[in-house]
Amino acid sequence: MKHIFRNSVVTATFALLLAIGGFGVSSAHAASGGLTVSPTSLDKTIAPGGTLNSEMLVINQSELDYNYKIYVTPYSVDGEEYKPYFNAIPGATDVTKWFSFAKTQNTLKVGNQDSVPFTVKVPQGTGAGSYYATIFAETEDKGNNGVITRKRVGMVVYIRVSGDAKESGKVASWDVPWMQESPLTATLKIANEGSVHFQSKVNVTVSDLFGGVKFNYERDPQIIPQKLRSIPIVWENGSSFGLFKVEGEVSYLNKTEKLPMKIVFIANMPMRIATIGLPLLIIAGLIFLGRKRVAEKK
Amino acid sequence: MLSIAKSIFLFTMQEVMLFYLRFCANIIAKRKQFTILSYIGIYLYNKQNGSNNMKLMHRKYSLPSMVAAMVLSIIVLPTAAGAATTSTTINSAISSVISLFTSNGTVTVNVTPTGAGAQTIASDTITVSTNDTLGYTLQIADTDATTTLVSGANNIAASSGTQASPIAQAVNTWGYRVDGLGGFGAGPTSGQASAAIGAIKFAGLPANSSPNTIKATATTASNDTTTVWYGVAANTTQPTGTYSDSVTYTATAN
Repeated sequence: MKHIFRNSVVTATFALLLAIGGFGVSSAHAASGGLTVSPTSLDKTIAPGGTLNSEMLVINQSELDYNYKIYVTPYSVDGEEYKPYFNAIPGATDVTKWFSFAKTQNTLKVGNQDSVPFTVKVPQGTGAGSYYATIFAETEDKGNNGVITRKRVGMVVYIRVSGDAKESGKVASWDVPWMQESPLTATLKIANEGSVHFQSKVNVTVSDLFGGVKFNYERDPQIIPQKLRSIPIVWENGSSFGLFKVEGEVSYLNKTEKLPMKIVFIANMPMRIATIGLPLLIIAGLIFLGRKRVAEKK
Repeated sequence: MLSIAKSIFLFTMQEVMLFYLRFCANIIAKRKQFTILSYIGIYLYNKQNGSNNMKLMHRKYSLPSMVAAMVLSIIVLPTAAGAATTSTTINSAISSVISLFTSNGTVTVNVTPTGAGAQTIASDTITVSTNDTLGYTLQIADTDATTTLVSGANNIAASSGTQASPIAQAVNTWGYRVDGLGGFGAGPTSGQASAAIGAIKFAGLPANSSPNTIKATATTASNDTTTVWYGVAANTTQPTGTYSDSVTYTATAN
């Protein structure tokens, strides 16, 4: 009896240690780092000599406390896809000097959020137009072996310095190939020909031939001066076969432009062959039968 | 405002229905049917609407009006009565957020070298979430301008491959790859420890001044993952040591 009791105690102790050990291992694996910021962008107008006070939230949704630092970089975009670029462009105004922060680093405990107040002071005499910067929150993981990863998440700040700026833009192109494979894709390009950025409102709907709306796309992309922005409109997980109407409108700079309606045939290759090939086959068959009858009459 | 719009909508619907039902009822009228039901309809309409319109219609289009009124009494008017209630508008602004998580703070790629060269491959998974409807862009770059793995005075050079034209790893180099991106090929890549150097292609980490985009999306993302594979290849000429370098992942909303 004592033997059984002793064995039971040993087994229970072992199981407990295993459970604790297992839990420990699990926690270590789950201890991933990560950070969240809000908002993702800010668009403000400031007069020369004026000041903007605002804030960015840094949130710790990970499973570890972490130290983070705050800093600001220039912001510009490259190409029609607006690939972000965070380095200074030679000759451009160094906007980062306009920013000051109440704190530039802190420790954030799990589940907490930190408000990071900042001030943007536009110098007197600054020319009217658009200026951009990105405020980053960055964490650095500890380690000295292998690849040490840093994470940074940014908030893009669009600043319009008021004054005599030129506002001009246009819809540069609206491209919807008439025959596509799923997903249906349309590409809209908006050009900014002025000296200040503007926010556009793109609304595109995909509907069946009876007018039933199948997909609606609504976005408010910023268009940066002297840049062309390509906006891909993709009907993810949409229909893989059928005829659809694609239409919409773009609003920008207090005007609304209708996008011409386009008819799109969505089909993958086998369905295209079936759809186009079948009528051709029938026509060929009818011609064959017709000729055969004519030959029989002769 | 909403209730006014609703009332206008219901009134329009009522007029359209009346027109249609008058047309249908004219056919019925010729057959002298549904007279009693029609009178019940006009009674209900007048009771709920309190107008004399139907009386006029009764004189002009007796049976059609009655049928129309009956149907409207049953279908439309209870709704119209409901539209008289007041409503409250609830406004809620949802802020935009973006978050970035990684599975590893440090990716360990230890190698036990051989004469011909051995290769270790390990991964890091980056998870991005954003409610920004334009999506996000995720970039990778070395944290500074030095792209080598460093251990004191010794270093392991970055692969000479690029994201567009990656190459199989040469000995004593390191690099990264993302399956299906650029010229990397579909993969799937598997982790390995000090195995023979394979044909799988890697690119060198770009300097911080020229980051590479490893994902760009066009809509909101919820726990969208990207796996980055790191490979280190070394032979026995590489001095022993603890080599490291820092890589920065950058996520911004589009």
